[in-house]
Amino acid sequence: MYAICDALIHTCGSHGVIKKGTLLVDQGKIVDIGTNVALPDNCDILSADGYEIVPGFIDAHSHLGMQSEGLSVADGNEASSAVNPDLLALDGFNPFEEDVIRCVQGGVSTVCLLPGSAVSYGQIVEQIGVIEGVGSVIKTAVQGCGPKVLKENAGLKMALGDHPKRFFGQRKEVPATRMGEIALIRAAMEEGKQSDLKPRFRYMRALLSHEIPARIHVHRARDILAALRLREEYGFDLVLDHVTEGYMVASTISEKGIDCVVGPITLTRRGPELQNISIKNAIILSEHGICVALTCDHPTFPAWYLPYHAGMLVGKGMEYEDALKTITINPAKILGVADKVGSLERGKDADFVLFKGDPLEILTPIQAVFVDGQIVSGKLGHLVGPVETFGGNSVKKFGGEGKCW
Amino acid sequence: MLVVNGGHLVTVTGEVIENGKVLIENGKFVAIGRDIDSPADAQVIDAQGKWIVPGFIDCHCHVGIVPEGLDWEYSDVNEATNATTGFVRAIDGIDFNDKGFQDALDGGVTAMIIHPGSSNVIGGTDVALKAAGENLSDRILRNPAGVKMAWTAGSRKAPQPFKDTPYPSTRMGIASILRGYFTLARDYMNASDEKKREIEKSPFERFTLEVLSMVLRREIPARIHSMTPADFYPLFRLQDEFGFEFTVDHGDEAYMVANELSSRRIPVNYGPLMGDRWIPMFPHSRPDSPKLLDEAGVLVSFQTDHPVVSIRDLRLQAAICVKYGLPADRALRMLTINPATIMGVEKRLGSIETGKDADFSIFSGHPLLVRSQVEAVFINGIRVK
Repeated sequence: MYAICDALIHTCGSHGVIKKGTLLVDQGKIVDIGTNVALPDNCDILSADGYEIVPGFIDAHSHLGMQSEGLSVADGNEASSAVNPDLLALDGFNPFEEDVIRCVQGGVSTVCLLPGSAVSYGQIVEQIGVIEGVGSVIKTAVQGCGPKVLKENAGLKMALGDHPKRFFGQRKEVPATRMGEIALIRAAMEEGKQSDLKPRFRYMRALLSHEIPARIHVHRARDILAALRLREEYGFDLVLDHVTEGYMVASTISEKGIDCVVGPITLTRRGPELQNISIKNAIILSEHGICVALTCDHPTFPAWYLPYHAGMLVGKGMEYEDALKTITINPAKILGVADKVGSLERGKDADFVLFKGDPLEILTPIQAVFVDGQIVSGKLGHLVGPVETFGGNSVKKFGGEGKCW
Repeated sequence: MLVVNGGHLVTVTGEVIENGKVLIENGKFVAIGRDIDSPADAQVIDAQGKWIVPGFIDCHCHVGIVPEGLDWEYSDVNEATNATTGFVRAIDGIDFNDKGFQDALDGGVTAMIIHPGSSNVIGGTDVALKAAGENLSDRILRNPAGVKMAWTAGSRKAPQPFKDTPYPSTRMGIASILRGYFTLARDYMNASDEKKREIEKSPFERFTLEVLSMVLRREIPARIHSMTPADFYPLFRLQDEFGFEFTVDHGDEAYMVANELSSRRIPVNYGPLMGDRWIPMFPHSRPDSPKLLDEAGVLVSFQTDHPVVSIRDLRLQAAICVKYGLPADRALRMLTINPATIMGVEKRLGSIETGKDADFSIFSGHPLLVRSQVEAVFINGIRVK
């Protein structure tokens, strides 16, 4: 059991921002948080005066660990067919990729792994399908035989728009048009309804019975509206991903109560689909009452740049705590894991990041990253200043170089 | 006459002047300091509490030549019809009304080198220009500003639509093409007019040989897309053989040969840093590269390779390196005077000094903070944002 005291804590939850706050952690969970926390006798105390604490960051749309040390042999996308509802992103995840460690070091403690990612530079058409498989919510600090999975079936990834139709159209396969894309989804939905369900379509059934949401890749306003029409037709739960032109149809998205995973917000206008990209998109969607999470779409932009993307929103006028929520509690809510992660509240996982300064600025060094109460990255030696030690345990175990798995 | 009043005045080559004042006339800085008299009729810009910095410079981007928001069919960046296309010129492929130029101003970038793409061993000539200006000829700083060459995967394989084009498939192939062309160019530049006609065969060949002659005469550098020691060592050997100057563009692993780059006075135009898609291909790349290169005495600048990373975010490339130990004042040099030097226009741009072009930005806060906003940009003393 240990307590971190006197820090500025952005809880992203019901406690708001706590000045000179204390975070009490035991067995991987937050036992208590606030300004008047009673500290048990056997508790180690870490003074963090002048430091800021935020919940571990969450990227709700990531292809982390799926690039296999080079682009040509990446496992991010199964290009052999346009319809792959039975794939699991976890099966393409390599926990030993360098980027996984970088992600932990950057304070991104939870991601939703999604299938369906390919190179999108220059003239190369992104080689993605229409129904790409099922994503999982994992913690990035990998121990033992793999990542801790918070939610195995977290959403069925699909894609609408220019990329699937061009990639398959080039191969003279369906879809060569947006009509073809929707027809493929509709056909898969019908398969999901069959009484003698083929195993391959079991996640279509899960989608139709509201066990998992659809995560639909959309850039253009027209594709957003197409996704909403499909939802009307089949009545599934929907989360929109990328949502580049969302600001053009923000009231419609808001009326339907659809959550949005927006980004990467720093993309340039690569191709016609992105020609109307605006850095203010996430702000406008939020102003319409939509639950917005930011994504770096790792490796399009590395996941550990997530806090800087949120910082850009602050620069463009979003309230600081609201911007912070787009990379903490909002993605947790969208992914259905807000009971465990995303905010610093009693009973939740002790996933948090300690900063010396503003957490949303690039220049601010990360002091330490904690996942499930364990320090997984960082140096704390010099932090141990005026330490009071109660009970038998020494505070030393937090000092020195943090081990990074 | 224009006077900018107050603020933290980052001159770059001199000290930061608190509550500094700049006087601008005819597009140039004419006085800089705390106690300077400005004429009563001068237009005054109040910059109290703001940061005034020289216009940032991006020495490697494809603004306007890779069009914003259009398909690759509209792109003019890669003349991938041959492994060597030294006869093309970037300036002929640029849409000067492209939105990318506005992105540059949004990030306080006032000058840039626009390159042809990396799909050829010899890709064509670069152009250095300002991000805005009344007419095109006034915007151009240097043309040609160098010759684009590529020593990487891109130049070892023709891009998709041209995949039947004959290309080298190894670094040995790239080296042999360059050695062959430089040898031909050396013969060409020393030949009589009659002999020249004999060597060149066609106008295309003449354009390429003339450009390479300029490189051999050290009038312009080769600007070479290169990343790893496996790229640099053959280039060092070619440099020893032919005596040309070159810049390392990208240089992901350049720090590994920092001392050799330093002794050869080869600058590194580093980046881009925020779209790290190619990190897996360069396992030794590290974000403190600019710091290590700088400490070894290499001239370093930052680049976005726009549209790989938005030219608007050039300053954030520097911020990332500061996070990893690069001193902030060195980082600011790598955004201003260093790229001006690499561009070859250090007498005109890159710092706030008397006599230099009045290209500068006013930031709401420190220019390396994400949250700071570019509030105004001036080029030749004229407000362009």
